[in-house]
Amino acid sequence: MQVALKIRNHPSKQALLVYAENMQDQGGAIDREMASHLRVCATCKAEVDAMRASLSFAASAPELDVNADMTARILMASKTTRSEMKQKATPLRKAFKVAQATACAAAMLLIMGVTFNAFLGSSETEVTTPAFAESVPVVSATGRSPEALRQATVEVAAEVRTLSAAVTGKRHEAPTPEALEEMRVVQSRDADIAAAMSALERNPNSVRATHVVHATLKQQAESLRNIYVEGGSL
Amino acid sequence: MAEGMENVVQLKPEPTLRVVERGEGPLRDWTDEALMLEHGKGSEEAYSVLVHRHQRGVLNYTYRMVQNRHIAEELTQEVFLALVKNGARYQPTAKFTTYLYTIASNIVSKEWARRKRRPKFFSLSSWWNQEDDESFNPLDHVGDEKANVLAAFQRGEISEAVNEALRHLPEHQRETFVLRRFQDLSYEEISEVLEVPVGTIKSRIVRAERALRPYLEKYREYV
Repeated sequence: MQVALKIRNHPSKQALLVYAENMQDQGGAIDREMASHLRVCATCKAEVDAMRASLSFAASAPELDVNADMTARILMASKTTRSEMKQKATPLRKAFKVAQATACAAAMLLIMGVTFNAFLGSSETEVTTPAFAESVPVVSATGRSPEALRQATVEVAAEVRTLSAAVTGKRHEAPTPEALEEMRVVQSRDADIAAAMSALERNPNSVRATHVVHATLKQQAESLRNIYVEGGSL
Repeated sequence: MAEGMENVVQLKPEPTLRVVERGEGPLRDWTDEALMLEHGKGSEEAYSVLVHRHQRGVLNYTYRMVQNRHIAEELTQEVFLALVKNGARYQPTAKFTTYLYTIASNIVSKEWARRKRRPKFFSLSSWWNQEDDESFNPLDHVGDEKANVLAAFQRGEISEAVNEALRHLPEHQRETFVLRRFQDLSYEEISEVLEVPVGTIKSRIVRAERALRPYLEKYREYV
């Protein structure tokens, strides 16, 4: 009689999830009342099993490892920040710093406004020349000169623009699943480019972000070329 | 609720300071809170121990959220720089990890806001959302909506498959799920980090798991 009453009153999804988590995680407390309910209720047991399977899969994903380079960068940046904070002690220096920062910010805004204007004002399918390449003093880690990197980025951006227009122009033809899969990759990579541009906006002198933009644009061009040329049945 | 009580403003209680005893022995044995207080007094060594202890967690949190290693590393650096800037003002009102992930969450939110402002180089939507043919959606022609997860798995990247599945979650659900399942924060800690009630956190986790399930099931078929 008592069991039948419990089955009419199933636990909430939240309670089931907490139970599934406790079962999944080592050392979690197990609710006896819930356990006895699950022994007689196939619906809730199936739900808990499915939850555990999801949680187990998510937990199986390996974590990123930290490289020593990142740790060194963090510690170096913290030292710089610390010494900067110490320096702005006197009121006169503070006032001077504020004026200096304001002037720098104004200059940066002016430069960014000009360089990003074409890019920000473009339609979604239009790819403009990434003007940051002209404003950032780039020292290439791959041995490429700043001018060569700038030129290469400009060229690949133009290529992406052309290919993107060409692929868009073929939209009325029936797409194959393979082509659509590739298109998803292209769209996903779009987010990476946007993220790298965002990083570049935060730190206009970031050589790494410039390289990421350049490398990702190259991959984008390759994918679009595949879609257009090889996925001819688009 | 009693009559006339509707307009009474509920004041948030003042956070109480946790009692943190100064650590003893080598710094690596100190608690996070004691290290943070020591760092606030100017100890670079204490800060270094905190960085080594938590950088992996923060990196993985930001990576799951922005899904790009380069950006995740930059955001991780921002999080730890925020510790430097706010070190002197730190007060142990909560667990250090709560404080740390509150900073990380704010920085990730700013990153998302920046991303939303960024233009797209190429967009699938621009491919079919044209005035003369609004009804045409190429995704309707794909039989298997989990294809991305499968493709990621076929490339041998479990982590990528999880990321691909996470991409289908709304931002607030993804953040809650990542904090709970990948960073091992308790419901109460997540509630403090995101400033929402514990019940809402539980509800988000349930919804997130429910939304992820079909993608993850598809993956498991190939394990």
